[in-house]
This record gives sequence, structure tokens and C-alpha cells, in this order.
Amino acid sequence: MSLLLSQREFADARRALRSGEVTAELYVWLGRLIAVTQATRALAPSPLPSGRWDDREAVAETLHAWLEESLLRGGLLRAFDRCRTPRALSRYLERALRNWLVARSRRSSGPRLLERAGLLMAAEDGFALVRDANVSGERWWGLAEWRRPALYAGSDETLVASAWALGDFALLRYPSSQRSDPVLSTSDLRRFLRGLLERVGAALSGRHLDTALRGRFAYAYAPTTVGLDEVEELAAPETTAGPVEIEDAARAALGSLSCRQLRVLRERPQDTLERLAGRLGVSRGTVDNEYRRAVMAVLEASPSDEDFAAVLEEVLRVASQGGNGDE
Amino acid sequence: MNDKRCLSLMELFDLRAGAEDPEAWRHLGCCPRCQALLAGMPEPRFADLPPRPLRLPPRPLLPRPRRIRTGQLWRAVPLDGTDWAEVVAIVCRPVRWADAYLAVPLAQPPELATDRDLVLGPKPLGYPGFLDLANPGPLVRDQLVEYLGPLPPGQAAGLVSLYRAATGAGDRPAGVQTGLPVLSGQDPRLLEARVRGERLRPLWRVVDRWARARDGVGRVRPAGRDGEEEARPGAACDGERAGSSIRQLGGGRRER
Repeated sequence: MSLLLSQREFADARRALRSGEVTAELYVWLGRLIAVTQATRALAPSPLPSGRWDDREAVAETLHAWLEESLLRGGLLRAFDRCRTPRALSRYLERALRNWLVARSRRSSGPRLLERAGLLMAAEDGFALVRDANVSGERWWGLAEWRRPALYAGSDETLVASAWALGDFALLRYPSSQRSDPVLSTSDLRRFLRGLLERVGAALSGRHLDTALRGRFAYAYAPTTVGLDEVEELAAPETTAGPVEIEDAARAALGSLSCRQLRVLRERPQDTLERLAGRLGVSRGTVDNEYRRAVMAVLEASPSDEDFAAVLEEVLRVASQGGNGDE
Repeated sequence: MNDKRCLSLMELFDLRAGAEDPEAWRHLGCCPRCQALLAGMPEPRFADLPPRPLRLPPRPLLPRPRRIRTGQLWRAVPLDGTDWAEVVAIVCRPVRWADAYLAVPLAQPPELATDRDLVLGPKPLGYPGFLDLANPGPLVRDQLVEYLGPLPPGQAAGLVSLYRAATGAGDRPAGVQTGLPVLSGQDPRLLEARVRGERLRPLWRVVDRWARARDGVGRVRPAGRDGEEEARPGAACDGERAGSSIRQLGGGRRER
């Protein structure tokens, strides 16, 4: 028996949605989609409502949270607008589930970013405290090489647009539930802070940095429930993950890669951009972008920066066991 | 599974159980990602949840309008039978292209909109998004399979103004809800727009093919079908200017 909806169930579900109902078949199938993800360990458990996959209620709790936070708020309508077949629906919603869990994970750790930014700038020689204050939001920061920098007086819109102009950042980790998610790696956070200060050419306050972080990584922030000044101290640095965590991370990375990205990841180190682009039938720029995206997907799935190499190696090992696809 | 060509975990389970799906098997034969996932697939052991009635805000089916107008939202499909549809907004019908319409696709999430895109709230469709002015394209009436309703008042004119501004035929409109400006080529929203452009290619293919056959200029099909009243170009759309825009599009997708 197929795990997908039948054509009739798919058509019935689409019709019912328009009149405001979720059919029993669709509801059961959505639960099945989560159960399949659970069974394959294709996603880390940390963003789940219960924080564990082996909890008996994990599938039901996850489904209800997904329905409440996303699917009943337009997610299902969008899915049925985009998908014309049951198999398309399974691909679309599997990805939607992944994205929703990722967004949950990011939200749960959002406020830590500003706190980490403050700690990083205080600890590193490249930054300088321009004006001190008791609360982090009122402290002004600049670059160490600046002498008497001006204080930023531009608009929030320019600030957020400047943050977008800094390029891509790898965002997510799949840590265990005990080690909370840093959202951005330390090196990316450093690049973000330095780049933003260089771009605006003036000292920025903690409030400005918070505005830039929230605007650029909007999906990482839920409506604030914790005031900036109430954020807890950071925990000790993370330790390196064990083999099981590396395997899980590699599997999660594999699930989020497209086959073209996996091919680029596998073949790029041994080949020139031109030759690889020729073989894949795409432009050099596309190969370059796919490579960057693939590396980011592995980074995002890695429990920490230090584990990236091990996770990448595991992804390539598993992929080479799977076969040598050539599309 | 970024490009959605790869198989879902459910499809992989089905294949493992021996499902007869030639297309899926063909993909599996050439995709290292799906092969690797299938190789590590456990036995499927899970129980279905008991059914539970749920309700959400309805979005009634609308009758197909007689005339296609600027600012209408449609589900549009490629004519080659793929699994996917796109939601598009009609910009205009260039006067020299009898059966083709210029449309822009809906994209998500709204945070990825730039100052050239029109941001939509959840009102018309039941979910938010933005009209992707970086990826406009031509399609024909047969590709418009389901009418989803009009843009909220004022936004249709905003859409045309943004399109004209994007093609250099007008000024950037004021008072239209857009995203934040792009300040550098490194902005990842540009990369996302290019990725969407690649995904959308099959949707625009029909008219592109005609355009190439006709050197991108002139009439490609007789006006009107079966006595049906043909839509005039949208009231706010300058036909000649849009005509020149579509000639540009006929020569290949524009990229920002």
C-alpha cells in the first residue's frame, strides 16, 4: 500500500480545504508524514515541541503544533495551490515540515544573538567599545581601527538593507536539546558585525545591532517574550559531537540537499568550475551558487563549527555508498 | 530536496516496498542523494493517528471570469504536465500578443522581497507572500487553470507601476508596500530570485518558444477564441510600453 494520498483523496482534500475543512484522510496522512520523518531520523529532534523523537506522543504533538502554527494559517492552502499531484504534495510538505522545524529552532534561540554579539565584540581586538552603558542595548560599538567614530544616525531601513547586503550566512545547527542553538557560527557572527560596521561607517548601539539582526534574520525571531536585559548568561562553549550525532547530522544534511548540490559538493574539489558546469549543463555561476548552498546546508546541520569537517566527510561517505548518480 | 525533483521520504518508502513508479525509479537510478537516503531507510513501523476533524478559514472556489484583467490572481501551470503549479498575478496583455499575458509569480516568504517587489498580506489568498517582479514572464490563457480572486484595491495599479519602474518605463511608485532595497550584489535575495527564475522557466516556455520562432516581435496567434470577448490590456497598463517590454522578454529572461 502506498504511503501517498490517492488521487481521489488528494482531490477531496483540495475541495474540502476550500470550504474550510481538513479531511480525515489528509489529517491522518499528515501524521504519517511526520512519522516517516521520525522513523528515518531525517530531522534532529531539538526543534520538536517535546524535544525528543522517541516520545510516544511526539508525532501527535508535532502535528498539532505544525497545524496550529503553520498549516491552518495558510500553509495547507499554499501547498494545494502549488501541488497538482499527491507525490508533489509529499515533496512540498516534507520540505515545509523541515522549514517549519528549522524556523522553530531559530526562534527558540533568537535573543541570544545580540548577547553573543556583545560578548564577541568585547573579547576581540578588532572591535572597540565606543560608549559604555549599563544595558547592552545602549552600548555603542565600532571598529578598533576607527578614531573617534561618529554615532550612526541613519534609518532602520538602511541598517537592515545594509545587513542584507553582507551576503549569505549559514544559520541553523541541529544540536541536541541540551545545547542550545547559536543560530550563527562565531565566524559568521564576526563577519556580520564587522561587515555591518564597515558598511554604515559609524558606531552602532546594541539597539541598532538588534534591529539589524531581527530584520536580516526575521524568521529567527518569535514575538519577543524575553526583554533584552533579561537574557541569561551564555553557557560554556560546545563540545565536539560523537559518532551518532555526526551520522544524524549527515543524514539531516543529505535530506536538505538536492541531488545537483550533492553532485557539486562531491565533484567540485576534483574538477574545475567550467568542466563541472559543462557536465551539469548549467552556468559557472550556478555551480558556484550550488556549491555554496551545499556547504551551508552541511554547516547548518553540523552540531558545531568544529564538527563541520566530520559531517561533510560522513555526507560524502554515505553518498558514495549510495551510488554514482549521473543525471 | 531544494529543487523538489528529488523524491520524498514517503516515495522512497514506497519504492523500498516495491512500488511500481517508473519515473521515481528512473530518478533513483541517477540521484546519489536519493540512493543514499534509500540505503539508510529503516523498516517502516508506525501507526496512523486517529482522525480528528479540523477547520480553517474557507477560501471559496470562484467562477472563472470571462475577462482576464490586470491584478487577477491565478493558478498557472506549464503545458507539459508537471506536478507543480504557480500562483501568478496578471500584469497586462500586450496589444501585439493576442493570446499571451504578462504575469508575475507569487513568492514566499515576504522577508525575501526587495524594493522592486509587491508585498501581499494574507488577505487575498489566505497566506502572505510577494509578487516577484524580478521574474515576470509571458503565458497563454490555457495555462491559467484556476481563478483565485483579485488583488486588494489599489494593489493592481501598484503592480503595474512597479513593473513599469522595473522596465525603465516609469518612476518607482510611492505608497506601495515593497521590501527593503538591495544595496549590493552579495544580497542573498538576488540569489533566491535567480533560483526562482530557474524554477519558473517551464511556466514561461510556451510563449518564449513562440517568441523565438517569431524573432520576439509581432502577433503570434489570432485574437479571441470561440467568440469569447478578448480582454483589453489592463486599464492601468500602457499597451505599447508593455509591448516593448515583452519583446525584451522574448529574447531571453531578464536578470537583475
